[in-house]
Amino acid sequence: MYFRDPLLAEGAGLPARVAGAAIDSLRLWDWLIDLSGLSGAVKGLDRFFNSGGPMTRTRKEPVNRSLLDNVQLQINWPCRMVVGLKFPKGVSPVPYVEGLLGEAGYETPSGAVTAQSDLPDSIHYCHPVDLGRSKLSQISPDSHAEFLRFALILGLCGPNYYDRNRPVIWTEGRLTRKVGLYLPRGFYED
Amino acid sequence: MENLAAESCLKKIGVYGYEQVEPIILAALVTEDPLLLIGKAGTGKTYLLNSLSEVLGFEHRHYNASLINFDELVGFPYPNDDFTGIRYLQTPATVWQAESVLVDEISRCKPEHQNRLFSLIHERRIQGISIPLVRYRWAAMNPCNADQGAGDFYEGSLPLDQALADRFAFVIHVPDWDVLCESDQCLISDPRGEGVRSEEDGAIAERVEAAKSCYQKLLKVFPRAFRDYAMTCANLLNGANIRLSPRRVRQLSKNLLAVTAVNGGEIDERLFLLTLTATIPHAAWGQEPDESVVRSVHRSAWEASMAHGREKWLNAFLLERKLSKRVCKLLADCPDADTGTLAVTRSLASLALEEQAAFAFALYPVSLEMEGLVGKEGINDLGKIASGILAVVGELSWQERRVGQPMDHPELSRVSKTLANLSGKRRERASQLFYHLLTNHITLQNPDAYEEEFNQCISVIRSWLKAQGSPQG
Repeated sequence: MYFRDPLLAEGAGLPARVAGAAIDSLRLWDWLIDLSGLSGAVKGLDRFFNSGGPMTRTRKEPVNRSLLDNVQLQINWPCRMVVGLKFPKGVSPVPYVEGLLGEAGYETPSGAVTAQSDLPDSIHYCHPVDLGRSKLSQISPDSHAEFLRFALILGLCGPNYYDRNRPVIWTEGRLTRKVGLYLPRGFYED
Repeated sequence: MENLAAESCLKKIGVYGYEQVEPIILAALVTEDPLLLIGKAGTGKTYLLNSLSEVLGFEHRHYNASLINFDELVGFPYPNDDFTGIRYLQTPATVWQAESVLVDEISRCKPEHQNRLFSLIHERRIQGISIPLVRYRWAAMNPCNADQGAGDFYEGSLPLDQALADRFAFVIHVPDWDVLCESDQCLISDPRGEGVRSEEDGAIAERVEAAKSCYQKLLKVFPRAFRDYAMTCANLLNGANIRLSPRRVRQLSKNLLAVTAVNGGEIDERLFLLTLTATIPHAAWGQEPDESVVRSVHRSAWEASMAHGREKWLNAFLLERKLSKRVCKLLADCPDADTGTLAVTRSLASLALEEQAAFAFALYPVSLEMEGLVGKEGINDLGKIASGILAVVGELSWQERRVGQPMDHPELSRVSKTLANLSGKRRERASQLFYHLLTNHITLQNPDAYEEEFNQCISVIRSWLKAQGSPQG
C-alpha cells in the first residue's frame, strides 16, 4: 500500500498541473517518464513518484514549565537563595573548604553548622540552577567566612532537599553544584 | 508436605500419589461439600471415590453422566394408590437411598442433564424432590476441550457450565504418572494388590470425625486471619481478571477452615495455597488460571493476613489499589518513618510510570514539610521523580503530515480537554503533571480519571495537614 501525493490525486490519476501551468495529462506523463532518470537533479520531481510511505514530518516544541520561583503561577515556591562556589584555579574543592573550616576555628563541619546562626533553618527544596561563569562569579562569595557558609549549605543539600539537621557531606560533586533553595508552600491549597 | 505424606490415609486403601491433594479430599469429607476431580484417563479418580465410599460404609451410587438415563436415576414413575401423586419405583440404582453419589464423566453429559445434575449437586434434589440421605456429592471428569494439553485428546469432554462448576466446593487436579515419585510408581505398577481387601481399619473415618470436631470449633471462632486471607485473595484475583463470586469467597473461608481442621487445627501456609488453588473452579470450564498468578496472590494474601506489626501494615498498604487510599493509609497510621520509607520505595517499584509520577508529586511536598512521615531515603526517592515534575524542561515531539493544516500534539489535545475543566491551583498541579508525562512519552488511557485520582490524593493530604494544624492545609 502506498499513498500518493495529493497533487497527483486530481484528474484521472495523473497530474493536471505543474508549476501553475495547465498541461495536458498525457503529455505531462510522457515528460515525467523522460525525466525519471534525472529525478535527483530536478528539485521536487521525486514527489511525483511513489516514495513508499506517507509524507510526514516531526514537529518539536520545547517545554519549560516550573513551579519554582514563577510569579505568574498561583503555586509558586519562592527562591530563598542561589548557592554556588567558584574555586580558585587549580585547587581541589574538598581540601580547600576543609582549610577554611580550620581557619575559622572549627574541628568538624557539624561543629560549624551548630555554631553558624545564619544557615536556613527549615527544610528547603533544592534544585540545580543553570549559572554561566559570570553569574557564578557574582554569587560566589569573596570572604572566607561566607565561602564556608555556602560550602556548609551545599554539604547539607542532598539530591533534592536541604536540611540543616542532616550531616554535612563534602564531596567535589556536591561542592561544585549550583543550586537554588526553594521554600515549598501553597502546594495543597485549593 | 512430608508430614502429611507420612500420615497418608489414602495409601491404605491403595490410592497412591494423592498425598499432595489428600488434605483437600479429607476436607471435602469434613464439610460434606461437593468435590470435583479433574484428571486424565486412568489416573484413579473413580477408583479413589468408589474406594472412599466403600471404606466409609456409605450407601453409594456411581453414575456415568455420558450414559445416564434419568429413569434409572430416579426410578420408574407410577401413580400412588389414590392417583393424587407420583411415586418412583426404586431399584438398587436409584438415588433415593444413596448417601454418596459419584457422577463420573460429568463433562460429557448433555446440557439438559447438566441442569438436572445441578440441582442434585447444589440442592440435593432431583426433579424438585429432596434426597435427604445424600451427604456426599462427588464428580469426576477429564480435562475439557479448552484445557487439554498437546498430547491429550478427550473428544466430547466439554467445558462445564460455570454455574454448575461454581457449586463444587473443591476442584482438584489429580496427579498423572509423570509427577509421581518412584515408590508410588512401583506400587501402582504392582498388579498383586488388585482385588485385595483394604487394611485401612477405620483410620479414615476416625480422622474425618476428629477433623469434623476441630472444624466445628474453628467455625465458631472463625479467626480473623482466615477472613482477611480470603478477602485479599478475592480482591487480588479479581484484579487479575480471575473472578471469584461472592459465594466462592465465602466457600474459600469455609475450605480454609476445613483443611486446617484436617491438619489438626494448625495453620500451614502450604495448605492455604493448596486450598486456594482447589477453590478456584476455572479449570472446570477450561480456563485454568496461571499458576504463577495464583502463587503470587497467595503470597500477598498470606503476608497481609498472617504478618504482624510493621510487615502487616506494609502489606495492607501495598494491597491498596487506589493511590488516594495508599496516601490516606500512609498519613493515617504508618507505624514509623522507616516503614514509611519502605512503603514509598516499594510503591514506586511496583506502580506504573504515570502512577509513580502522581504518587511522588502528591507526596513529596508533605514529606518535606512533615518530619517523620517518611524517612530520608523515602524523601529522596520521591524527590527523584517529583523534581522532574516541579520543573518540566523537555520537548514535545509528534508527527504530522507535510500537507494540510498543522496539527497539535495528539496527547496534548486530549489532556487539554481535561485541563479546560479545571481552574486555579488544581489546574496548575495537573498541568505540571501532564507536561511531565507528555515530555516523557507516557500516555494516559483516561486523563480525566487520572487527574481525578491525583486530586483525590491532594485532597486527602490537605485534610490531613489541616488536622495537623499545618499552614499548608
